[in-house]
Amino acid sequence: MTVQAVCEQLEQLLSDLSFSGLVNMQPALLVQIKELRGWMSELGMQQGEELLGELERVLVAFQREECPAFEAVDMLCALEFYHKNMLREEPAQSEEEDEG
Amino acid sequence: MGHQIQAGEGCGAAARLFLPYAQEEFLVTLANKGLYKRAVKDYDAAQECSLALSDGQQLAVTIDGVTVQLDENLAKSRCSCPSKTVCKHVLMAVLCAAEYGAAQQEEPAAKPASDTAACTEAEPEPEPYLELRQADVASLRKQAGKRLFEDTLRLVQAGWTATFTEGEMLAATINTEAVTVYFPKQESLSHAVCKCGQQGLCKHKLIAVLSYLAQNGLLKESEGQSVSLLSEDALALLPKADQYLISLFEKGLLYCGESDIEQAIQLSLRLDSVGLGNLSRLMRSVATDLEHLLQKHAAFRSETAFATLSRLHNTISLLQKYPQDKEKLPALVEGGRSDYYTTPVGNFIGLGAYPWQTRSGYCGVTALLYSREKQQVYTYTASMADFYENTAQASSTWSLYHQFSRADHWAEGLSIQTIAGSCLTLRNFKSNLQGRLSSTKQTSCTITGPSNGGLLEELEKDGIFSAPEEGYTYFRRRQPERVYPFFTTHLAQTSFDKSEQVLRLLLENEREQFSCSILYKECNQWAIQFLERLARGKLPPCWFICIKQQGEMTPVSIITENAVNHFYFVDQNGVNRLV
Repeated sequence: MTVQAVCEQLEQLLSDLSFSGLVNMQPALLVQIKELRGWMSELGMQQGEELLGELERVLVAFQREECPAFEAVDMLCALEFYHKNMLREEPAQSEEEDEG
Repeated sequence: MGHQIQAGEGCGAAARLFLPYAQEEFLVTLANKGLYKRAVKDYDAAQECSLALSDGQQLAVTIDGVTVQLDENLAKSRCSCPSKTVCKHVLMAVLCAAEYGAAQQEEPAAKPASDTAACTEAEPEPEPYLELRQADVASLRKQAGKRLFEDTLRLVQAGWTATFTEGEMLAATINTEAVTVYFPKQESLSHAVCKCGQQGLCKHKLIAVLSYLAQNGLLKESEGQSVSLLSEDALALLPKADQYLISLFEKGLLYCGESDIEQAIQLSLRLDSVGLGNLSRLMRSVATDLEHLLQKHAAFRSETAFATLSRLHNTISLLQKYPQDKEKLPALVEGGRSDYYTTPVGNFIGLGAYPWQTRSGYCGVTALLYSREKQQVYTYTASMADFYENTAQASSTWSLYHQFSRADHWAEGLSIQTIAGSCLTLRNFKSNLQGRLSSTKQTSCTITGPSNGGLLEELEKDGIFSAPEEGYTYFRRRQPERVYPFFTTHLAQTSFDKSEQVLRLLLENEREQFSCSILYKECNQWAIQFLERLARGKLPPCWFICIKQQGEMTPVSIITENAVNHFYFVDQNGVNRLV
């Protein structure tokens, strides 16, 4: 597994989570997070590993109704920030054009 | 000078008040160069000049039968001629008062005995620029109005400042525009004069005052009023917007409906109205993503939709965490695109035009113009929506060609084809912080000649295109467009990648190579055909103008030694040849 591939998997995991919703999260997703953490650890991506660990913790707590949704959203978005900075990715083209 | 000045009692002291105003630069600012020259000429030829104090206060200057009641706030002076603005008589009256005042100062013995003001012991002069030094933000905000004040504050925080020169008056030159504001020593704020001619507190005066206070460490915050880019309305709206985003994350994009789209559009409009243009655009993008998802449109990508939601949440969280942070806020807040500012005059070089189409259903043509004064690229865009039934054909190549060649822009009714291929002077033009030019008919355009390779060579020698790229930052503000001109003598490689639907080009000159590409879209088809044809023939030395789109260099136009070739468009006969 390369850093590039881990980043792609991370992006996929995060967007899947936002697509299906925190309330509809499946246990398989937590397994995926664990696997990804393992890869990050192996590749020395320490910060990513810590952030994923924290995401796993808040998602479990959210499922048990022990933490509010915004904490889980904060972690999700912190990982997106981490991912974008890793790849130095510019924002996607949104509604850039308007009437001159 | 063929005139003698007759003065009544007490006129000496009153006339001396106008001494600082009798400077060419100031009077030109108050009126204009032509009027000033005319006033000087007419004053020199004047036969009869007299000064008198009316109502015991105001200085009345009569020159050849025309009387001007001079007010210390010159813009409020009244003339007996029919003019409703500052006329040549006001300028002549200032020159006359200053001449008399100076003569009285130089020859104290010659002062009339009855000049009571001069005879009494001189009062100590108040501290200069006291009113300016004592200006406080709360009263400036009140005087200017909330909207103007906040818009101006955004400009100041984006780097619009004034440079000060102290002489008889304090001259503040706004560094991004050719505008000077003059502050007299006494009643400096209320009697300030701006070149834009607006009375009261205009954008330029505000920039000058805020710069003066900041540079002198006098920018104090009044009770309950903070100098922040975030208005109270914005601060109140942010939690609502964030709550909406959290609700989307919680239930998932898959379970969103029409009401969520509606809510995103509403929030986008409200974010724009409170001056958070970047958040407004991102929220609009959320609405578009949800629309595409609901319509099962191929343009929907869950990764992009998530990235937009996340960027919004991260920005809002930081804004809420640091609402007063003067260093972080400018990076997080970007004004609306509708904040356009007027500049009196500017010279531009057309660098070509290209068509575009967005996934949200807009299409148009954008011209690139290089500003010689500001050394940055401006864009001029004509666009329209193609999602209505009657505009569904708007994004076809021929429809875009008509937008490109339709002559109805600015006061002179010019086409984008002409604008993008010429050197031009714009007067009274409006632009925003992203370097977009407004299409207002108040803008007047004079074409001074065609753009050509020689001009680009000059610009490149000045090194203005080789500015280093800024490093990556997640919260980078949208910058004005950047162009990458490359002098090309040979097309080393041209190949169309069928799987990626991209035309790849390798440009070459004697020293280096430069790669660029064009993604196939309907609106790019003529450009791809033209460049493939060009690769088969002999290329004359020319400049390829490229811009960065989605991280890739994309050629926009070719500039030969004579003219600009807009290769995205063909002529009416469907032909495009390199001139």
